[in-house]
Amino acid sequence: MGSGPILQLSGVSKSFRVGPRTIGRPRAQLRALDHIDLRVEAGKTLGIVGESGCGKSTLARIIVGLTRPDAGTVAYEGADLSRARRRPLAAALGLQMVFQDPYSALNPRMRIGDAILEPLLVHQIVPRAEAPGERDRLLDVVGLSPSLASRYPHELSGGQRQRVNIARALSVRPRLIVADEAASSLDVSVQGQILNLFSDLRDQLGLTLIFVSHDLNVVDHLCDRVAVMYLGRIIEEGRPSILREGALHHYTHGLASAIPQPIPGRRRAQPAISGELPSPTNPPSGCHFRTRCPARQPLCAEASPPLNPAAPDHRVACHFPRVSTPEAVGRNHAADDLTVSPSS
Amino acid sequence: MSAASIERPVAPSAWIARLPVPLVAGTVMILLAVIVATFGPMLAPDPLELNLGATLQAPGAGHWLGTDNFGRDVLARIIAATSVDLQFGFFSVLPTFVMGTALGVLAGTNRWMDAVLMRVLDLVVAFPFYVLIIAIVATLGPGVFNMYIAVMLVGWASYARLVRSEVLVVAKHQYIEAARALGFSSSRVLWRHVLPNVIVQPVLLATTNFIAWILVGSALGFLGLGVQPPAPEWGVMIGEGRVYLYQAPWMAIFPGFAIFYVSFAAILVGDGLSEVLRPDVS
Amino acid sequence: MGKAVQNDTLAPPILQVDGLNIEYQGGPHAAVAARDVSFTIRRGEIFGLVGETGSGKSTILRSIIGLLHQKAKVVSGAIRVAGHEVTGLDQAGLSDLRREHVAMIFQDPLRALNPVMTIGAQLAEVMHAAGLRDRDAVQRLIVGALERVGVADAALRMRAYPHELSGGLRQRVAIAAAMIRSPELILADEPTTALDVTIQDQILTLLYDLCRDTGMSVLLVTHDLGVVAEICDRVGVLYAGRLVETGDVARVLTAPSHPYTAALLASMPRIGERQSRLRVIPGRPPELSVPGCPFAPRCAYALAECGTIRPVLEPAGADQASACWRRDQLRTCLAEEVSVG
Repeated sequence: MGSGPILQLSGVSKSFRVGPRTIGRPRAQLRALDHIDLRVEAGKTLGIVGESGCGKSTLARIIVGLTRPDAGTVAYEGADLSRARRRPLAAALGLQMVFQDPYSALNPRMRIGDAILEPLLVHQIVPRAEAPGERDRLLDVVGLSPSLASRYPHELSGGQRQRVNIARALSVRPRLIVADEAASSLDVSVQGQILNLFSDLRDQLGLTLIFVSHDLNVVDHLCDRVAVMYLGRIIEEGRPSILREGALHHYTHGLASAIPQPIPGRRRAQPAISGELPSPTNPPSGCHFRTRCPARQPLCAEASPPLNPAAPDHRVACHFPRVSTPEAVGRNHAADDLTVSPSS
Repeated sequence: MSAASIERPVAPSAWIARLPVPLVAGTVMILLAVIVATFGPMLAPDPLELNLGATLQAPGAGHWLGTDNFGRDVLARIIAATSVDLQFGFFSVLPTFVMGTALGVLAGTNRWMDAVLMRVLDLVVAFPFYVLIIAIVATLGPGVFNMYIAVMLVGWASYARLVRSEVLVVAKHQYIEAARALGFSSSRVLWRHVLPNVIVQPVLLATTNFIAWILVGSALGFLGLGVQPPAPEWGVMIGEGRVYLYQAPWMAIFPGFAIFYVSFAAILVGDGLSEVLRPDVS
Repeated sequence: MGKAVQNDTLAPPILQVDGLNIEYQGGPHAAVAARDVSFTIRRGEIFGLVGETGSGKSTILRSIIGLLHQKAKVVSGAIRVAGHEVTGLDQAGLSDLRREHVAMIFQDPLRALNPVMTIGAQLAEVMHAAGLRDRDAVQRLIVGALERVGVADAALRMRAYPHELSGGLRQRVAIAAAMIRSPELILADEPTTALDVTIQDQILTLLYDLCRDTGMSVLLVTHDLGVVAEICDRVGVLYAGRLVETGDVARVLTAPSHPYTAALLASMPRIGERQSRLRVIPGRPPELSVPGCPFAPRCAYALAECGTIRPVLEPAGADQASACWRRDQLRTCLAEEVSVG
């Protein structure tokens, strides 16, 4: 697997104007992304986790070029894409996306075979005569029978549709795939099949994956690195062990504890994180999380903590991070290395 | 292949058998009307020939549907009017459908076009439909050509509005974003992915509009703003028959029945089309 | 936290479902939504009904309160709420049932709240219907009800419209509305599925605490065994309209006695248990009724007779039952499958 970043985001910001247009005052600004710095190594899998309104989907759309950032750079293989009005084709095809809703992501009036054939023909990925063969091969790669090519999307199950979406994204031979909640709407047993497909594709094709999800279980299972977002900022980034004992940010810790686990007897007297998400149009000053943070201090309201390295391979944006015992961290790192990433 | 086709000798026409009954019935009825419009005038008597010796004759052997106040054969006039009215229906629907759909797609995808078009549209729909048509024809002067102009000016609005709202719905679907992420050109996204998913509604609207335009044509004829007498037109004929409703009800009833026939056929076609064009996309 | 329900001193049942069969009619063939479903919820108990899409879990819940889809019909079976038979009740009877014993919470609280009425007005309406007329008393009760479900600034929030509240707050208000008549049983249909995890955590805690404080029972329909583990006392696992396993949550989740429960647990990714591949259940649930065990075609342990003779729900140890011929032979096997992850 190649080394060095395939994708590097620096200072990426994006705001949206929301609410009604009125004469008296300007429309509210929603800061969807606030100076995002992120590095994705080729062949690795990055998980981006966070709750609704944290900006993770906007980030995914900026990476694949569906939205342009207001500021900052998006560098794919060293070349900045953020200024281009239309991306160079190689970069546009190199960065593909698998969408959340397998029902909505396929054109209901197009046979699924044609949905995969279309990009092959439009971009002349293979000679015209070989396109049907390539379509069948792609269906086979994602575990579908080529005989399904003449079906319409509504004739398939949710899991099958998501496989078609993956095959369509693969058709243009991307180097990086962003999966935006790609397994979230599926039943548990089907979700497992799709997640396994992603890890197989990563290993067989050397794909780089970015997994955007609210489901920490999924991200921990699949990813080499994890970035946690809250109200438009990355607040912690590191190995998946940060989702376990290794968390330094109080939000990461609370989020991880809030995930229901099928293990009896975990019931706590208090919720992991109390309070509501503040309005994204008017986030708290300083650290955005301070209103719900158990360890808040006066400083937190005054200065927003920068995302600084706290350990090798571990960045955190918190003035008063959690104390994490070195043994626990070491144990978790060992677990990270032991499992997944068969590429290493 | 062999066993199945032996058991089912009707295989070649199977796709027709799968079409909804209303669509087939409506299409056959329209085709009949077209045949009558095309070949009828060759067989029927001259619709303009006056016969002042045989005015207001009741339906009978000589004149199947009777004669009017000038002794003209009602059946011949209805047949002659068929092509006039069908043409008016078709040629009103077709350009307004194309124009309105195209403008609607533009408005749904381009913010500037949207702002401009929607203001124009507000202007058009601000007036009651018939008042606007009548006002335009009255300004331009009566006649078939001016009638078409009025239709063009007004008719696109309902399609544009409908298609625009449909485009806004479809554009939210992720398959549009997926197509963009796959690097397709915007015209490909529009033609291949947006249009097929918004076309059903305007097509259905067109079938109901087909009736509406024939009625408009008839209404204008009735008001003396459309087809000019003595040329036959169903609306004109009803207008003429109105005066003799008690003495010669056939003068108005039979052209009315012709309008009903075509309307019913168009409703059936629309009903059937809505079944065919809407596969189960639940 | 101790279980409110002790096995030795069984509380009386609040809900008894017995041999329930529900069919969807009107299609080309009658699709089965529930087959021979029987379970009991005792007073003070939180019962989780868990299953995947199409397993019939929501349909069963809706049949209890008479809110079935028009095409769905209870074909046979009995549903008793607090001893009263529910099947066959007319509209008036169902209204009485909803007023006296049962309340419902939906996945999307917006569906349960009127968009053009303030929160306070809607809660007041429920109280008026319950016979309360005194304005000030109603006002005080509403503030109290909202505070009880953890709504801060209750007096202020009363004047808000549903769309002005976040999803979590709306669900709290919906719970407050459901609690006003002190129901004995709350039917909760995926009440936290649409919420963020930290908010889901809060709502589950709230439901759990309310249940323990008031002694009411909850039937919680969910697709997430994690949610079941968080707050349920007992669980029923549905597969293709049939209850394949029921029992005490701790037992079912750690020592399942049906291969489907075990496979479902094993296919869930879990934090801290990283494997290179997830276990999956091959195939799909059957769409039509099959002669034998509905899970047999996908079961790793199926024998020939599993495909022909249907097993019924039978006890598999203390407070656990499963519909599997091999429940005794597979005990250790399934427990291992779950513990490995």
